[in-house]
Amino acid sequence: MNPFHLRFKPHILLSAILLLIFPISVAQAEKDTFMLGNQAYMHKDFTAAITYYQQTAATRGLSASLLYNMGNCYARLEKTGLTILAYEQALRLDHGNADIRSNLQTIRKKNGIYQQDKPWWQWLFDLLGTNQWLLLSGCSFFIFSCCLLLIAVLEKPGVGRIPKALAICALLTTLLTLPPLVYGYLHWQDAVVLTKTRLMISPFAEADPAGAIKEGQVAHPLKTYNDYILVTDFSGRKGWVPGKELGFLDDFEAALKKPGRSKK
Amino acid sequence: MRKAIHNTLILLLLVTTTWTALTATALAGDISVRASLQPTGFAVDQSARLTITVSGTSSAGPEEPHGDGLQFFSQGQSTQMQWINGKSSSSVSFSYLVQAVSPGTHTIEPITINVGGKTYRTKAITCKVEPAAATPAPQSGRQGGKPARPPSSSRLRSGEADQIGFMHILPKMETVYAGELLPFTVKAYFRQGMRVTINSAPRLTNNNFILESLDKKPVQSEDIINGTPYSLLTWNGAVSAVKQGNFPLEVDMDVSLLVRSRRRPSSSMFGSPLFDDPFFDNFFSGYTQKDITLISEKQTIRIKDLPKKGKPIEFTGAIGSFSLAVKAQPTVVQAGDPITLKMIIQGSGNFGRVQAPVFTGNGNNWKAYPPSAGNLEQTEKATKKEFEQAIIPTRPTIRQIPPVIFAYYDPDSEKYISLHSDPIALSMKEVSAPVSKQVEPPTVQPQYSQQPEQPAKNVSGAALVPIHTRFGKGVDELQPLYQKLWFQLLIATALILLLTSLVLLRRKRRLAGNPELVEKKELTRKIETLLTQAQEAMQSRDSRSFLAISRQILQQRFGLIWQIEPQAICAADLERRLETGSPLVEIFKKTEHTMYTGEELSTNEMEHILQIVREEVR
Repeated sequence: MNPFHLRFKPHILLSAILLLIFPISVAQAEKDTFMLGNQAYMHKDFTAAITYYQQTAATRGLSASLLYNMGNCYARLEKTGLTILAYEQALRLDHGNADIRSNLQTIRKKNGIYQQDKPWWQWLFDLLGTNQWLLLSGCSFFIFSCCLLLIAVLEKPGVGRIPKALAICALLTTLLTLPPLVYGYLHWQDAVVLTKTRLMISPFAEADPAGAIKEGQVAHPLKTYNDYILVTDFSGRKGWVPGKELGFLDDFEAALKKPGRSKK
Repeated sequence: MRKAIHNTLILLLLVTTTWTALTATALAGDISVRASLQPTGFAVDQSARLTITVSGTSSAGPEEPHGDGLQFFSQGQSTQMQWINGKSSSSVSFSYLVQAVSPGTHTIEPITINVGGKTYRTKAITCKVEPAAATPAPQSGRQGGKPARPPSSSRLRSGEADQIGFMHILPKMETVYAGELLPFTVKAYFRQGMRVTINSAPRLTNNNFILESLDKKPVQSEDIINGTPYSLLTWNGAVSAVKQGNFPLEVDMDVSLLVRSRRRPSSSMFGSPLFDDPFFDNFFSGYTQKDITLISEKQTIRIKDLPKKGKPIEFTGAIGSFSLAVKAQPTVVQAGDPITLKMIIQGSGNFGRVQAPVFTGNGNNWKAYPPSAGNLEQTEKATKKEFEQAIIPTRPTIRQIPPVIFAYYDPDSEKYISLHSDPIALSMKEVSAPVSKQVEPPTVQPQYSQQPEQPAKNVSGAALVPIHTRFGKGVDELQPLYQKLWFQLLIATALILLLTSLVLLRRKRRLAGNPELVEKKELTRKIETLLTQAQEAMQSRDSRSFLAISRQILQQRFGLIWQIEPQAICAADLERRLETGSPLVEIFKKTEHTMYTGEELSTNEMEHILQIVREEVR
């Protein structure tokens, strides 16, 4: 028997075991900050919980549950703007989550943030998230292309009925999903007002107000000028708002409560 | 017969009276709450009395009053029940001593009171606080105003109410420190045979002292004083003084007397002897109620300030005599594991001011969480207060839990005493994985669990769905799907497939609309195949096959051009149609000749023939 084989085989086995264990240990250590955040939340130390969640986001990225839990923390701390921002971002990752929707509705109701009644088409658009509509559209388009290729290649006329029917369905699906995804991506860079502020008629600090906008309301940015952003709210009012008072729904930095950015 | 009617009427009366009483009690349930502050203007070194009165009930649960810049000290509660003319009513009052931190206008926020599961709120009260000594000092060392008294009640001081009774307050000490517990006894004497109703527990008449405790129920006994028998009620309690000075300690109490009044003889209008029955004297106008307030004599107490010299940093206001016991659990841990410290303060003194001992572990080695509020346990034998604090060792080299310090002032020895617990040995387990600096917050409350919270209410009462316990799938950015590479590749592939299929479909349609082209293409394909076969025949030196194939090629070629059946084409057709001297005619003749004669061709000849045929078809 090969002495080399006898002498080193256990070491190789041990090394393999250690290599397996180490990633698990690292993952365990990383997992702790999310659990720590949950425990701090249960301990009613919401500020510490947010800190733990932010650390988790820095190491493991964002998840719907993480953003949702942060939203709950901000809600307890009565920071309505950040609460709604976190919930809306969580919905981007998990569109159909009932918990997120329920809490978002509760917070909006509690703070008197009412949205305009949705038309029927918007109810349809809200069935899926924007990325979900795009995925459906993209997959349908791919299926349509495959079916079309199959029809082009097949020589026998009678065999192409199923691919033809499938191609028609796929094409219809692609076309029908275009409006909601276009609408969704037009509003992809919407923002949440983080503090009660005013809409101004001009992008200057001395400008006259055009109205107040509540903390937690969603605003659609139109254009940027220096540090100000022209936004429109759900009722159609327009006005300039300082960029730092807005938290953008597509902004990861906003989720970590870093200084706001101007619209790209 | 007469006796029967008499008894029936009595029974009827009893039932009616009982029914009326029950109905009246049920109907007399209108709840009203009111808060009043007396006086509404006082100096910053004085105080006022806040009284919360809840009418229509005898039990209520008010929340602690709040107000910016104001401090509130509970002075107890009093309950009053009255039953007059068949109607019963009750009320409960809560008294607080109010002091201001700074001059200015302060507002006592509306106070929430829970009564029978319902919530009531008082109105906000505004008070104006002047700077110290801005208002005239009240007389007799009293601070603030006297609480309002019912105008109809009589105030009877001890010694003045010999017809009814008197009250004494007996403090255990005459000199105490500010904040120190001063035990006292209150004895109320009532002449036996008097019908007396106690409407309130003894209460302090001024705001110089805070009522720390008072027996809920007095001890009843009898005593004979100067040959006169008295009923004696005894309360034990304790007060603490607010500030330095000489102040009177005095209590009063509301009582009601039922004074019997003589009933007038009936007018005998109806001549019925029924109403002359003495039994009815006890129901109709037999007694009248007289409300009085009994007040004790004043006992002057000297209040001293605690000495500033020698006051430890850890002193938080405890005065008395205390002992300290500390337990830790668990004691076998690894770095990062939480340890629960249980600290028990036992002894006698003002436990209301006893706060948790101070943990001396430094921030580099220990992470300490705020201690719990303290659980007070009073028994006949001892009084103790228990605190829990969570601590976490952050280094594996720690071997013991540092001591905790509890400092108090002992009035008997007149000095500050600091109690240090002994260090507790720790056994640290080995750690294999790196220890994260962010350690797990410990569970201080025993009922704390890992389960998600119940949907508790936030400040304004909205219920939130609990947090999620699982992290789920993580993403690096909140980006739209079209920015993701795999989706772009999917769409690109789909586009390529679409273009390909469109090209193929167009070609197919073009071919389907032009049969000549299809035929031509088919022929071209066929000729290519034949040329390949001819090449193979040439290479295998099969003259016969070579020539046959060459003939077919020419037939196919000219059959298409001349639009005649290829098989019908012969050498004569070529001779007739082609120009004179065309090598194709010779080749065609040669193929026919060789087919009949079996003549073999050389490779060179076959190559030459093949070359000519290729040039022709191209």
